[in-house]
Amino acid sequence: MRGLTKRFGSVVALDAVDLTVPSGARFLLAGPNGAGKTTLLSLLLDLVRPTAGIVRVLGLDPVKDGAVVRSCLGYVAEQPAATYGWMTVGDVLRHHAAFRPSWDAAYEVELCQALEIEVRRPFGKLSKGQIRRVELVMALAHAPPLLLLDEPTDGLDPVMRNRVVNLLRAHADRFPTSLLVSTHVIHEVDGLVDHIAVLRQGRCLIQTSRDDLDRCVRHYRVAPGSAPPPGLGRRLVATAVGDDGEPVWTIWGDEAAVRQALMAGGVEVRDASSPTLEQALLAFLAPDDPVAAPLPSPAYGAG
Amino acid sequence: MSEAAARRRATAAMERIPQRRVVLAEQFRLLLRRQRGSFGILLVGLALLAFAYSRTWIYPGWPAAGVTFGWILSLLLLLLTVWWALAIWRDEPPRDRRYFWLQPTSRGFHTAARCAAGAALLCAAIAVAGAVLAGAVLTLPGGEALAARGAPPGAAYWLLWPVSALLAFALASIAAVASNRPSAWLVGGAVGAVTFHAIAELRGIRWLDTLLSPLFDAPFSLTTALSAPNRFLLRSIAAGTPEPDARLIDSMPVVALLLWLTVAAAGLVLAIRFTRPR
Repeated sequence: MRGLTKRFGSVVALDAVDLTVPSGARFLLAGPNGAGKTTLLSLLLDLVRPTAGIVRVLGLDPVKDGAVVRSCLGYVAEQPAATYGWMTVGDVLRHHAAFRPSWDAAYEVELCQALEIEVRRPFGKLSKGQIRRVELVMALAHAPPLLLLDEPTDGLDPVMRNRVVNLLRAHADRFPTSLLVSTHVIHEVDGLVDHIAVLRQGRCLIQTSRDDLDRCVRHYRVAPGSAPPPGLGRRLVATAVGDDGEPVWTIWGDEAAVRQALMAGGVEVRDASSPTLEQALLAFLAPDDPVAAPLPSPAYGAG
Repeated sequence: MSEAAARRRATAAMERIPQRRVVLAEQFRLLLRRQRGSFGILLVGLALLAFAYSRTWIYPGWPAAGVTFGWILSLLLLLLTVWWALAIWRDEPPRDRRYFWLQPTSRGFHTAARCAAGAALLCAAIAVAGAVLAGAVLTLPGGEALAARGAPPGAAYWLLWPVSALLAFALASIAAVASNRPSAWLVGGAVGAVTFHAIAELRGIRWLDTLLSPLFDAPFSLTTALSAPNRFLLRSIAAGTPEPDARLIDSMPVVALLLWLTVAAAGLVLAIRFTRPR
């Protein structure tokens, strides 16, 4: 998507978002509530139309080639659709399968067993978590080239959350699938994703591979009283105070280059540590952090 | 991705799209399961109307004697048909149609398939009602002679009943497809039009009368189309009298019905075309 903008009246849900999900990627779309994640997925599904910008799904226009695009997608919605609540779970799956010639009935049974789904139960009587599990079967059993999962573990108990993440990993290993997962429960998908984008207030703050994120984001514990040197610019993602009361700066960029920039600015670095995925993304989403412009590529170094 | 690669991928993806007959069959299956109660009411309601109509056969001077009941029949048929058109979209107004719209088929065709399945079931119910009518007439004393009374209005008269029902179905379907509150639109529209028509007549407001004439007064008006069978009957009776009522003779029920059916079909196509997720 290029320059993707969506306004609902005076509310800007997405603001000139540029985002590319590489083929075969397991892509995490992170961001707080109201960041625009669900709107972005809805645009891919042609459930809403963009105000400006270009959307392509697998190289196709979701408006002009809607049927083809939707046939290539498996989708778990944030808000489950209980339209066919009068059906049994088995009937819902039969109905869903009828529209998908590539539906794999054997895989459906396998998924139902793994997710402990009772196909004879009325769909309308299921809890949120149970509906979520059925929706996962609906999304996966036709092995689509692209999976859009909006809060896929929402409403699930911890055991089932773990099982779902493992199932998604196994699915992505077994089928040629690109995965776009939208969630704010980042630690659950830590071992699953290999690309990350962070949305905030409708803007894409960062889009990077997991390797680059691991390589370029560090927590730097600095001497008290230090002031960020101007040379850091927008690479200074967040500032916080550590458990020991010393300032901890989260900085984006090659570690050696960042250390050099800090030293040149007269800042004493006590140590540098690699944050977890959740810690790194939380730094980007720090509530008191003003919305920054998208970060430059780490390939340019810290200078 | 290059254009050629995108095209290759699209070609492969085409194999993932269901065939149109599958979509149509699925809508039939869905309606027969989801709306089996409503369909049962439609079936029984139409059969009862047909049975009641058969009782008018015994009046001397039929079909003229059946005209009064014909108006009631037209009204009840209209109401049943409109109710059925709304029933097939129950719980799925545009704002709750997300799952429907996420299916990998043309959204327009998918919507049309639902309407077509509903129309076909309506026709099936009318056919059953026709059979009930024929059977009920034949069971009356002197049934065969009474049945022969049905011949004078002609085959067109009997065909006009399902066609006028389809017109009502198509008009109600426009509201059901496009609106989150189709009942409010239909009832509000009908009450508003009748009220303004009455005001125009009582107060002699010519411009309002002219404005509403396509609905009420013209030989090709909507009310003429919706009550086409009875108008047709009245016209044929009037034509056989020495001094026929000019208004009855001028009425063009068949043309009105075809005209309004075309208008309704065009309206439904537009509603299907322009109703999309928002």
